[in-house]
Amino acid sequence: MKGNERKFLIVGVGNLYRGDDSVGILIARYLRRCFKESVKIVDIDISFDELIDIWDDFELVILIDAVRSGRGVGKIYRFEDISELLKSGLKLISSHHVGVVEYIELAKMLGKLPKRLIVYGISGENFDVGGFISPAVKDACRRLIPKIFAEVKA
Amino acid sequence: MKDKLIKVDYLARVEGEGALYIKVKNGYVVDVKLRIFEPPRFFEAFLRGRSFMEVPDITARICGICPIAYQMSSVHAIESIFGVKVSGPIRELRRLIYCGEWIESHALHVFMLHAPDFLGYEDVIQMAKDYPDLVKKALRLKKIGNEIVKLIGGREVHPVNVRVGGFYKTPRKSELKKLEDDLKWARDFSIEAVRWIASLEFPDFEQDYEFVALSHPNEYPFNEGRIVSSKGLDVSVNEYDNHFVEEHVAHSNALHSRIVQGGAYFVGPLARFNLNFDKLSALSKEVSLEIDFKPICRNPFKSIIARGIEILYACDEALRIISEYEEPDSPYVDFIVKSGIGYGCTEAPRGILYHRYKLDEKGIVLDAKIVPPTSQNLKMMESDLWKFASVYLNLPDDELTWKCEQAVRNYDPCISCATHFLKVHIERE
Repeated sequence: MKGNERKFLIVGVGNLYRGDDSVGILIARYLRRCFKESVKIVDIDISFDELIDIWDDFELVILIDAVRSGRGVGKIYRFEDISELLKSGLKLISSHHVGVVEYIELAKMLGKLPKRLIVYGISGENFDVGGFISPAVKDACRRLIPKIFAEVKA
Repeated sequence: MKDKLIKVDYLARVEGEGALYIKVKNGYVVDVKLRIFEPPRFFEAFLRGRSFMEVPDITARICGICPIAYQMSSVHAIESIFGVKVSGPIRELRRLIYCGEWIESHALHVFMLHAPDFLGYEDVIQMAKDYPDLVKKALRLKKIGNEIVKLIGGREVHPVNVRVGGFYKTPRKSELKKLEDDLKWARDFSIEAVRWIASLEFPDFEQDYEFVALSHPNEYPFNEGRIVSSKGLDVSVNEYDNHFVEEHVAHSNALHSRIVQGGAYFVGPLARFNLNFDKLSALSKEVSLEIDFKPICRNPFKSIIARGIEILYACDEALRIISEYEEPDSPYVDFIVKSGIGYGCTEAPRGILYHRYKLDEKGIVLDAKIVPPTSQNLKMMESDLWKFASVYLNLPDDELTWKCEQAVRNYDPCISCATHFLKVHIERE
């Protein structure tokens, strides 16, 4: 373990103003109350390359984002094997030039992934600008938060 | 020759949502449309009724890549109403924060979005397999640009420290000094990068463009200057509306600009380089001449070289500013709010960005007009595609589609800004 390695980082990704895409940020905001410094929010105000520059300093990174899977609104996907995420064809929602999955792939290619990266995707349906979060996605938040507590305490 | 339709339903590696459609009939290109379906964003309308103090922060939200450009054009426009003249260290800091934005925006486009086109990779991820060091260095370069924006602007995306008259807070000399080592590395890397970019293969393609950029008597333009063109236009910023018009075209949610007495025109790094070569730093000029890249270059595919030279210039200029910086007594210049109409035009990474505001006596916005560089280049992009597709019609469809997308990316279009764009269709009938 590197001397400056920190235990875990929770990354909430999304856009507060695009309905279900806000889910990653809302969960991260909730978790920030408990973990403070160990939570980073990647929204329209922070660029992704900044994130991959720092996350290889962490033993565990948990990334939460909305996904467009086309079925089962509120369904929670969990990926620990990044190649499975890449193969899944699931699209994490991104307003950036280079999407979240692409950045994860790029980090992998450059040998900059954290030791463990867990990606949670919550299936959404409403990504309109100014839209509201769907009830099924809200419910998924309630189910996902205890799982994340369990991950970091394991 | 078979008739065909080249369609790219969703253009990749551009910012925003758009598509490209090219129709070929009896061996001739008969239709080209850059369809911009990114929804319109109505910024000009919701600026009405807001205080002038909010304008730099609201307009910064138009773009996550070039917020500084929006802040700079807006503050200069408003300052022209109040008769404010910003000089000394505050003016220098405005140039420095713009250097940061150019470095970050150009590094993203050159290495992550455009270079894969020249090397035959689908994207930067595939390119990173074979060029891991280059991609790592490019990310470091981009980060250095971000650091400048973060230090002066308060944060790297949508910075919050710019205000009419100057800044809310100015950095200490010691804080700027900390950027020096990274910037020296960035300057060395950009020389290496420019040489590498110049070694790429460029399609043989030229047009008789009218290049338009700002021109300042003593400096490579960021914030100030007259609007000049390669065909003799030379007007002040407040004459912009007399010489440039925006038109609605049915297939685009972004307006198209043209010169009143002319047609399409070309803004951005290649235009700036062609019209301001003599104002580059000695080192930037030396490296340009070493790779035999001189004005006037009319090959739009070589915009990537101009972008590389501008990264080098921005590093060099940032180092100059930092070495000469003295902390100002006040972070901003005082002013008296007045009513009137103000005009601002600055050089965003993608080209000139024009703002016009009408304020009442309390500084409330009565009317706003914003013309982003991508809107100004859209007509030129379509013109390039008409000519380019006509010349390269014999290529197989997939290769022609690829090259047409590359031709669009020459302009580093920012569709989110312009709607305030890419998919390609080539139809052969």
